[in-house]
Amino acid sequence: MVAKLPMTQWSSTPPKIEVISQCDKSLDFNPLHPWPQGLPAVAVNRVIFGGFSQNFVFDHHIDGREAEKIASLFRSLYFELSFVEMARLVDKATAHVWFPISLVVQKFGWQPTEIFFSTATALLKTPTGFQNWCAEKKMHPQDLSPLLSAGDLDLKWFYRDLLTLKLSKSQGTRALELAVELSLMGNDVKTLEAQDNESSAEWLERLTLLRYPETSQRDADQESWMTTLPWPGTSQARWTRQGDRAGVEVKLFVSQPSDLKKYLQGLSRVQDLLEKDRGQKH
Amino acid sequence: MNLSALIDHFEKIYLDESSRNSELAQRLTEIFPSEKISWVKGLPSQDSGPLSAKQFGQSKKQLYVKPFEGHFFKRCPGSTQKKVLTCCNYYVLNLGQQCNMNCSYCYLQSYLNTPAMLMYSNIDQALQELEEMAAAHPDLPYRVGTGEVIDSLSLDPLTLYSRKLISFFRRYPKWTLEFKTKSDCVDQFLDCEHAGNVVVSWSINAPQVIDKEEHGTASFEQRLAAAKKCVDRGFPIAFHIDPLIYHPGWKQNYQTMMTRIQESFRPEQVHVLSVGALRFQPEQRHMMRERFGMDSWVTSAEMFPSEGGKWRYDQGLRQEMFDFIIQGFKSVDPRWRIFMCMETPESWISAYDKTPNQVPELKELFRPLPRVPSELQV
Repeated sequence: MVAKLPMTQWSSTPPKIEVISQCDKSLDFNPLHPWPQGLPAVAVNRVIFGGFSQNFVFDHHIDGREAEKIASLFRSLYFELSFVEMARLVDKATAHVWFPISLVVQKFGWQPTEIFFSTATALLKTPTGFQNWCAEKKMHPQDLSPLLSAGDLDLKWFYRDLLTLKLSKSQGTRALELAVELSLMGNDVKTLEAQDNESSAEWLERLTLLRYPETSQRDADQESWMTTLPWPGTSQARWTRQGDRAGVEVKLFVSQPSDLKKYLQGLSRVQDLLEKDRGQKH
Repeated sequence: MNLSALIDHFEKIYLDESSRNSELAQRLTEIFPSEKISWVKGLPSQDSGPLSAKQFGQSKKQLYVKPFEGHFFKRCPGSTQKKVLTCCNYYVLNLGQQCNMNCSYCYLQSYLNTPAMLMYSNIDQALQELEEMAAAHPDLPYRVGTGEVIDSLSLDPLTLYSRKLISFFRRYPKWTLEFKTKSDCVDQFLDCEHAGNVVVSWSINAPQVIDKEEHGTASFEQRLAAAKKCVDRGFPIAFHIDPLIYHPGWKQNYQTMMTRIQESFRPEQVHVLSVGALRFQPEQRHMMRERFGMDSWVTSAEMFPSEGGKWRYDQGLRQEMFDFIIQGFKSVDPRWRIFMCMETPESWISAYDKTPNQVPELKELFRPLPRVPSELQV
């Protein structure tokens, strides 16, 4: 006697076991995590939702109008999906009008806004290597916002360099924005792409200098001038930028009270020179 | 924009059923062709979440009229950052939301998520709120502006709200009403009797900045001409030189602006000048870039995270720009009253060697005032 499969919370009739060749695999969005080997695929109305490489499939029959049930079933199959996977799913779902893509997006914790879908479309136009990097680094739609401005820009050089230099998530996010902006500002690719033997940090710093030429020049000028000031003996003074403010960071080593007194006298002389300089500028 | 330009500008007018008996709804049904008007119960298909660049642009072309639910009258948001900013006790009365014009730096790009421009039909309730506060504190110098999240006057040819407000403020001469605009729409209220406490102010900038970054607004000379009309009718005026935008030739261009203002008006005719530098929430840069590209002096600006979270120019550059403007007015005539908007105490000390409540001509603006009901509710 063949065991009867129980009814499920999604379908009023038990799912049928089918051979996978009977089913439609066009929703295959290339999930990153492998399907458990011992389990059959899962389909709804003969459209595979998960387990695209399996031989057999549980096929649930659910009325196409039961969007909540369909979305819940899909959600139950995947612990999490990255934005890249969601983007691919969004693309594949266009062939299945009944598939409740907005509801599925919500169930995975994303907001199904126009920005979300536009960013997904923009991401799918990038090379697969970059998409995989985005999945690995768990990039969010906001991190990829510059793609919405990129239009038809040729950014192959950027994707190549990002992968070659193995940028971290924060580096890659910043580099993407710099690359898009500098390209839109008309900079030649030759000045933007990573140079031989350039590290990821050096490349990023160079792109930043290109994007902030005036501030960088002002900082460099101030730094040169600052080094001419009579900082006290063993103190360490360096020019640094903290957001919208640039200034001097001074490190002092004090082993006895008289050290502090000497430093204060020395810093007082520097203060006089700084105030004189400020007065001249005004 | 004049009335016919406004009629052409809006593609769709949504009138909420709950506003059916309002003066505003009735007026709009008379002004707009019927094919543009729809009576609705709520806006059709409104997603939650931030607007895309396309949706934001489209929202300027659709007008939705409904009653406002909540407190109309509240403090300017700069005051919520008292730990980092020095603020002037300004209050705002929001009679709508969004703007039909299109400045590249507009902070509404990071603030709004409604797919249509809003205009509130229940102005009588707004006046009631004002009445309650004004009756409780008639002699305190509250300054109330209507241009925080909407231009005060660009839609006034449609609403005529200016006339009701001017009439109301006649009863409370110690209170000040401020219209803040980038339009030249003043003709519709010039005949109103007023108590001399209605300040008509313009956000203003160097002519080159207006041409390049303030799309759909009145030109520099049009704003000055409108200001002159107001002065001739006894209205005090003000100018908000905000945002200062760094660009090639900025000193020459801002000098031109200052010279034209000084040629056109005497200091005693200008209630106050304020000056602020370009600043925006960090997430706004993505929408600005998408809508205006990188040719804009705003999107290509060199901006940095500042205390309080907004992106600003380098502190040293900001100071140089403020000093240029302040000295540009004060050196010609020290009677010009000029203050900085949404800036840090350090900027004040650098420009004035004082905080604002130590500057005699500005002290009154920064005087602490009793809180309004919306601030007292949790």
